[in-house]
Amino acid sequence: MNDPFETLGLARTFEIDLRAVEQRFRDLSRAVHPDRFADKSPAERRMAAEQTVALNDAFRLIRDSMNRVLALLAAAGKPIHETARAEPSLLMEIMELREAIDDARNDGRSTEALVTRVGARIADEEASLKDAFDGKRFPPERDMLERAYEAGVRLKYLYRLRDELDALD
Amino acid sequence: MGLLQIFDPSAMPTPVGIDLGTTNSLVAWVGDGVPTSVLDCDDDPIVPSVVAYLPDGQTIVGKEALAYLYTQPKETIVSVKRYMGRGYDDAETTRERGYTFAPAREGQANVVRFVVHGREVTPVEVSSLILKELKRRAEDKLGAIAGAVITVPAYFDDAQRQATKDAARLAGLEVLRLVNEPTAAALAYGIGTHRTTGTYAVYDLGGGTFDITILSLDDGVFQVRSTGGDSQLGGDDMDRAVALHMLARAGQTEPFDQGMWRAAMLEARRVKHELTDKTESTFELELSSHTFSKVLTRAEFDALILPVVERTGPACRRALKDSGIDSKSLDGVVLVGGSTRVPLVRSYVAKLFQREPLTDIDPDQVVALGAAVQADILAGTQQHDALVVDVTPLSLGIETMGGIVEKIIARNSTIPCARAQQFTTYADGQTGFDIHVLQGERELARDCRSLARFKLDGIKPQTAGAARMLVTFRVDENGMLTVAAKDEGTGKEHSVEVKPSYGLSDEDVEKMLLESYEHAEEDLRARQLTERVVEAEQVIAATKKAVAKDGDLLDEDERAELDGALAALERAVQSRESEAIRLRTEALDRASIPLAERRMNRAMREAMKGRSVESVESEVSHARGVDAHVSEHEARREH
Repeated sequence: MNDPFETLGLARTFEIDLRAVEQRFRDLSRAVHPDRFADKSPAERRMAAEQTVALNDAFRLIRDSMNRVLALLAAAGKPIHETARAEPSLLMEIMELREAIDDARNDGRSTEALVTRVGARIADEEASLKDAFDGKRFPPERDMLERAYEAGVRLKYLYRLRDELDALD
Repeated sequence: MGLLQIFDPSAMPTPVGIDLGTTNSLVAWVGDGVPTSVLDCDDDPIVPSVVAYLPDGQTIVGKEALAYLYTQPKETIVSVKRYMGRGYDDAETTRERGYTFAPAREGQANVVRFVVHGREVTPVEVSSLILKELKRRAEDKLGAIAGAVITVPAYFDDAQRQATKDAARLAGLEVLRLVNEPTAAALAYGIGTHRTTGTYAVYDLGGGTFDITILSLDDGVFQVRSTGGDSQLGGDDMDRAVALHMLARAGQTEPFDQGMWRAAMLEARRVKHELTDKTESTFELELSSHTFSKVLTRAEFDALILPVVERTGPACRRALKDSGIDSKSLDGVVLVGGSTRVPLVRSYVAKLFQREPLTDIDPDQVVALGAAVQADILAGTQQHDALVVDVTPLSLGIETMGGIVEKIIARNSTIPCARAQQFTTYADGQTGFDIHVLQGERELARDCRSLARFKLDGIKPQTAGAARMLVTFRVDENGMLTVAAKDEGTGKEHSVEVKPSYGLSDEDVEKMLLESYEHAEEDLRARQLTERVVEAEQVIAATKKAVAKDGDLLDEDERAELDGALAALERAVQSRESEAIRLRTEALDRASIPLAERRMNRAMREAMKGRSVESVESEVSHARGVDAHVSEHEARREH
C-alpha cells in the first residue's frame, strides 16, 4: 500500500480534518488530472494518469479509518500483516457481540445498544492511536507505537463489526 | 448585425459535445465561452435517434426517418441505445416486440443483430449512423471538427461504453472522452448558472436510462460523490405500460401485430406528452375494422406509470447513502432528461428529496451543452477553468472458487483508478490462469454482468504457489477497464488478450470500417498516414511548448537529445513516410520523459504550496514528499 499521507503531502495523524484533506485533494487534482494534460505530450499524459491514480487511491485510503491505521503503522515501521490475530480475550468478546447482533436481528429488536457498545470499544482503541500519532513527533516512541499496534489489530475486528451493524439498517 | 458566415478553412477545428440519447440526440459546441446546440434548418437542436433502413440499402436518420415507423416498423430502428453492449440472449432483447433479431452464429460475437431487409445490422452500426448525421450537421455549421466528447449514462457498464466508442470509430469521430450524462449536465448547470459551491443531486431520467448522481462543486472542481441508476429504465417503459393498457382497452391480445404495436407505442408517447400540460387526452388506435378511441385521464396515466417512476427510488436512496450526504444538506436537485417533464416524476422527486427540483436549463439540451464544455476543456482552450472528477458506477471483480465474486474496485471509486491483485498457481507445472472479470454488486458471479474472460499464460512451469502474477485492473477516465499482467518473479510484462463477453472485437469493428470504404486498402493506408501525421504534429507542438516553458529543468545532454528527437520527427513528417513517422514519434516520446517527469513534479509541488494549511507546511518535512515519489517512479521504470 502506498502511503496516502505522503502522496497527499499531509502530516501523519490519526484524526484528520476532512475539509483540509478534500481541499488538498482538489488542489492536487487540478495539478495532475489527465483533463489538464489533454493537449500535452503522450509522456506527460501517461504520467498525469499515473499520478492521478495514486492520488485517487490516497484519497480513498485516507478517508477510511482502518486504512489510515494501517498506513500510519506501516509508515512507522510496525505494519499490521494480514495474518495478525488479536488476543483470545478480544476474539471471545467479538464472538459474544456477534451472537448478540444475531439474536437482536432474529428477534427483530433494535441494535442501538449494541451500536453504542461497539462505538465505545472503538473509541477506547482509537485513543491509543491518537496518543501515538496526533500532535507528536513521527515516528512515535516505542511503547506508544507498540500500544498503537495492538489497538490497530483490535480495530480490525471492531470496525468490521461496526460495518456489519451499519449494513443491518 | 447580419454577418455573413464565411467558412474559413484555416480556422482551428472545433471540439464538440454529443448527447447520444435513447430517443433524441444533439451536438453542441462552445463559441466565445458559451455552449450552444447546433440547430437544423428549422432551428431545432434535436435529431431523433431513429434510423430507417430502406429496401434499396439506403439509410435515413432523424426526423425524416420517423415516417417509416408506420410503413416499415421492423426496419426502422428506435431506442437503439437500449441494445448497446447487450447480447442476443439478454432479457432486454427478448422482451422487445417490434423487431426481428438474428441469433449469433458459432464463433460470432454475442451482440444484438437486427434483421433489416434480409441483412443484419448491429446496434453499433445503427448508432454510428446517428453519430455520422450529428457529425455532418456540426461540420456544416463549424467547418472541421476536432473530436467529440460523447456522453453515456453514468450507469452504463463497460460493454455499453465500449459499444459507444466503437460506434464513434465507425462514424469516423475521434472520441476525446466518454463523459457521464449527469456529470455533463452538472457541468453545464454550474457554468450556465454561475454556481460555484454546493452539493447537488442530478436526477436524470431519459428515454431508456436512469441515473442519479450526487456531486459537490467547489472552486470549479465538480467532484462526483456517488452515482447509481438503471441502464434499462426510462420514458420507453412508461410508453410500454401505456401502450399495453391502450391495447387491452381496445380488446387486443398478445401477440400483437408488429405494426400495431409500434403505432400503439407512438400513440402512447404522444398521449404522455399531451398529459404534461393537460389533465386528459384522447388516444386513437387503428384496428383492422375500425378506429378505437378513448379518453385517458392524468390520474389513470399516473397510476400506469407509477411503478416505473418508483423504480428510481432505491437507487436514489443508495446513492445518497454512498455519498455520505443527507438529503437535507443538499443545495439542490437538478432535473435532466425529457422524462422529467412528466408531472408525476417532478412531484415524486420533490417528495423524495424534500425540495422543489431545479429546471433552469432545458432538460433536453443540458447534457449536450455540458459535453461541449468538457470538449472545450479537453482541447485546452481554457475558456472554462473547471475540472470534473468522476467515479465508476459499478463494482469490478473477478470470479473465484465456487462462483463467488471477489471485489477488486468498489463502486463509486474515483477514476482513473487501478488496483493490483496477486495470483498464484495452485497446481504443479501450471502455466496459465483463466480470469473472469465481472461488474456488479451481487455476490455470485452468475448475478453480475460478465465483462470479459482472459487467459494469462506462458508462465514457466514451477511447483504450485511458486509463480506469482500481479494483475492490475485499471478503470480509465472514460470509466473503461484495461488489464495488465506482470510476472513478479521475472518482472516480465504479459500481454493480456481480453475477450469481451458482449460486444464486438477490434477485428469486427475494423472489418465494418473496411466495408464502409469503397477502396478499402488504399483508404486504410491513407487514413493511417493522416492519423500518424496528426499525432506527430500534436506531439511536436506539445513538446515545443513544454520546452519553451520549462526547458530549464533539463541538463545539456538531455536538452540536446530532446532537440535532436524533435528535429528528426519534423523531418519524418515532411518525408510523409508512415513508418518513419511512427518510429520517430516513439523516439521523441522516450526523449521527452525526463522533462515530463520534472514538469509533473513541479506542478505537484506548486499545488501543495498553493494555499496550503500552515500546519501542513510545517509538518510536511517528515513526509518524503513528491521528490521521493518521482524518484521511486523512475526506479520502477528502470527495472
